[in-house]
Amino acid sequence: MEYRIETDTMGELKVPTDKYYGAQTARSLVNFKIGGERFPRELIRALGILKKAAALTNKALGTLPAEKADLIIQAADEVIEGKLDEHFPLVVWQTGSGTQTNMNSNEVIANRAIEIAGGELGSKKPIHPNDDVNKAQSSNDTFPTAMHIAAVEEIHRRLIPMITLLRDGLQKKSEEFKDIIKIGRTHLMDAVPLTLSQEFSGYVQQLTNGLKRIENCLPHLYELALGGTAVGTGLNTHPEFAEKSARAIAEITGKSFVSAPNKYEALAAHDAIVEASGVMKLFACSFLKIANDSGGLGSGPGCGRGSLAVPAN
Amino acid sequence: MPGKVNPTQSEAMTMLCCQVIGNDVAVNMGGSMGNFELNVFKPVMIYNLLQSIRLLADGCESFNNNCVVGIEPIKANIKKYLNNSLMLVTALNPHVGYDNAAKIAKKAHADGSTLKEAAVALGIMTAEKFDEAVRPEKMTGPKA
Repeated sequence: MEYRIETDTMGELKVPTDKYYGAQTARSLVNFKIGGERFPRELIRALGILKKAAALTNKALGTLPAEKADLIIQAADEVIEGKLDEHFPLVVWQTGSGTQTNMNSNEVIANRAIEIAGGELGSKKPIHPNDDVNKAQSSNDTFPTAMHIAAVEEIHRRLIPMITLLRDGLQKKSEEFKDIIKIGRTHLMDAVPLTLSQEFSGYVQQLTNGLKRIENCLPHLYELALGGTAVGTGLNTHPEFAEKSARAIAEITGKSFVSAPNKYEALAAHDAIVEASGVMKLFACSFLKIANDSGGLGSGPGCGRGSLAVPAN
Repeated sequence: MPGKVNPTQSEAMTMLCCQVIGNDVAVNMGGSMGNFELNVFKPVMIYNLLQSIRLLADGCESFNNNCVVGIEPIKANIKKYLNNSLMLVTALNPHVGYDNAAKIAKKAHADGSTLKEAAVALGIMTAEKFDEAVRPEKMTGPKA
């Protein structure tokens, strides 16, 4: 394999010539050989979105020359589209701030921008990963921003549509089963009758309630940490950076992102992530009940309850 | 076991639910341990949340398309269980009172007889009255 030499504040490191990442990513690969869990594409995409938004904002505020900003935006677009995923090799088990993955995105965008400009990879000219791509940012505010972008996008793109699909599927069955009177069971024992439709309608309501819970947790996920920089004070940012960059992220994604009202909370606590995970846990509890019921009522065919036939697969 | 059909989609769904609940524990731990100006459990928190979202979304799609859409009631068995249940006796509460209804149920259970046979044998009500009162189709909602 061929290598080039990249440098960071700790010294020189060899990086494969066919990779855009730089010294800090290479150093993480050496020092954190832990497990195989890598960040999913959704988080890499989110980092691309926020780097693009930061460059757009720095350009608008005049804190970054337009020609530099445009190069960064072009490279960030490739990160967003997934063209550069192979250049993000880091595992989850690294620094707890996600700094190495933030730097990974700075290095990849810088080197790709340098390549577009006809420069030499690793030269940090004309685009510097820290001074230009990470301008007005710190890992401490970028990583939590990417966390919120990724969570919101996936909730909208996949979770809500698929929960709705299953809810509607159960609803359809509930309508089909209107005339089927069955025995109810309480404490696993024989009880009084109900219709199979009534039984299924309970599952439908569980998922309708769950969809409401998702809606309720989204407003806090819309709040972004960007602009807080290292400890929440906004050191080294333009006074308008936080608001403008949040608006840029909202425009890029089409989602209702806003700048967090308090950046200390946004950096030091992740209550919104805990809340969202709590909603996921609740869905897990709902599905355990629903799936166990369908398995239980289907037990048989000759020696169980034998009340539901489930498709063979 | 040739020809055996298992509730495989239910099992995939319940397994991924176990993972999501475990992920939530990790997220809770990470979320509770920020120190001073920075939470330093960010990667593990977002990794677990995104995995939970993915598993639940994929799980819903698979469970719906490969299981729910094809669920069919086995009507003969459903009817058999309905008519076997001694708890249909609950319909008699307003007619003969809770205590008499309990006597009927216990006698039917002890003798292996039907509820109707027990009710008549105990002299609590006639077969005709029983048939009027115990109608499962009238038992699935409130009644004025």
